[in-house]
Amino acid sequence: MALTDQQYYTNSTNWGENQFVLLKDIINNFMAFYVGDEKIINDVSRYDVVYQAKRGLQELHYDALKDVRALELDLPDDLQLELPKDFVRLVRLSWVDDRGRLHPLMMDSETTIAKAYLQDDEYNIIFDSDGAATEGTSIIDTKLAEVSTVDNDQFTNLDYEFFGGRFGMATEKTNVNGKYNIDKNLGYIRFSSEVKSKTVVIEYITDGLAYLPEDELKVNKLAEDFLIKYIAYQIVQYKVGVQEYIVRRMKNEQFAAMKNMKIRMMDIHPFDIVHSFKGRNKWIK
Amino acid sequence: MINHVRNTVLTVLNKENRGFITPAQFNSYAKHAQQVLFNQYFSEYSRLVTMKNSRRLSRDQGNKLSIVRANIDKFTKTATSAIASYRITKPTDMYTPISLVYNDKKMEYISKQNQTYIEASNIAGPSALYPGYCDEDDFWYVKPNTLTGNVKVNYIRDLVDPKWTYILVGENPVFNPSAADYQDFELGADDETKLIIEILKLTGVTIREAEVAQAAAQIDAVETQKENV
Repeated sequence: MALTDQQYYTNSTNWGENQFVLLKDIINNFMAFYVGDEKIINDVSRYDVVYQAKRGLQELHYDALKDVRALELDLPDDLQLELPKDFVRLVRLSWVDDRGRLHPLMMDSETTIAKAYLQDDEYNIIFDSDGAATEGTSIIDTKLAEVSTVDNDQFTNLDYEFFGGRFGMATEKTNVNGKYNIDKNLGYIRFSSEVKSKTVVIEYITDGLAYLPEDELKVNKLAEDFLIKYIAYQIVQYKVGVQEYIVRRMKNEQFAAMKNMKIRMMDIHPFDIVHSFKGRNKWIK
Repeated sequence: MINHVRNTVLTVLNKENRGFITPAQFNSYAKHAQQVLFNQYFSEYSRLVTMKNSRRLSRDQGNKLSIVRANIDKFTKTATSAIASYRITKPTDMYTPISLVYNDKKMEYISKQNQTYIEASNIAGPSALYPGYCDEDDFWYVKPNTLTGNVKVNYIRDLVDPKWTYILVGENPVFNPSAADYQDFELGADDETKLIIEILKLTGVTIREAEVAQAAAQIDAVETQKENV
């Protein structure tokens, strides 16, 4: 039932909700209107539909929705932060300055995150009683944590800049904001010391499943049609006895729905285009 | 309806003094015949759906599918069963389940073969939002087993056995619908002819009168042939 104006505006959880449709409603509607004795999909278990709907939601988030989430955290002294719970892929890492502006960091290609096995005097790896190699603190981590903020912020170490007789700026590595490395398996990000004591913002793409409880999973209404057609296609594709022409038709419908959805979600407005073209005759001195 | 069915059967049997069946025999055959026709509703429903999907069934007055559906729906029933020890007890008068509903959410049947895989599924396993159940003996085991409360069971109930009750006047049994254990057929009036034919098939065998059984079987075959056209 539609909310009254008062109900909507006085409860912040309602704000913007009209953009979305709940995944459980899509699944319910699919079972009600796409499955039945007189339908192409005469019988399918709801688990199949739930599975395909959630897979479709994941694909949407990877491919089309570009629903970038951001998490702000204070960086601890060990310069390491855990990846967010619903992290799938990084978009941008930044630190926040005094005016709230973001300063993007670069991926550090000159170092890495490495395990450090303990070794004896003869450089043999030391194993514990279970036969597993014992691990110590990586020298890389130790050295990076020891670098003072001033050294890097001012970039006074010109020896490094000129090492190997190289002159001029290595633009692909130049970034005074700092750098980072990600260990995707262990699930953390390590920052360079320029970012020490700062607040960092992690912008990332999620799969759309992990950050909400199951009954609150939702998708933008502009993508609803695609998701329904995606579910239908995936089901007939693996269902025995469905004629190939029906499978092909569903595939085409799903593909067309995806294209439509992407166009709808592009968020390009004529005003923005006009605004950009206003500078077309500007003289570049 | 039961008295009319019995009278018709007796009339057919008594013609040319072929034989007679007792009330107990009639009641036994009546129960069997009713169950046979009831079982046929489901295969008939399936056959009609196939016919409808191939555009061989009319939509309005001739829509036999909705007639059969209505015949089956007459026997639907709802009961509430409490979850205890991760399971609920099946209704004792159940013929076949239609659906199980937990907190307004339909529970999905999980076969024993797939139970392990579905329960271990990271994105589609049973949950409070998408609950399921496994069938075992006289119970349904709810999935996930953390569910508590009640489950609403929609099902098709068993038929009540028909019973032609009587009082003896002299040596003749006379129909007595006021008896406490009287029970008419539960099938609709449009099934009366089929009931008579079905009972005649059995009585023909009992009285060793092959002609009766053959005639009944022939009528049945002709009817079936007509329906399949």
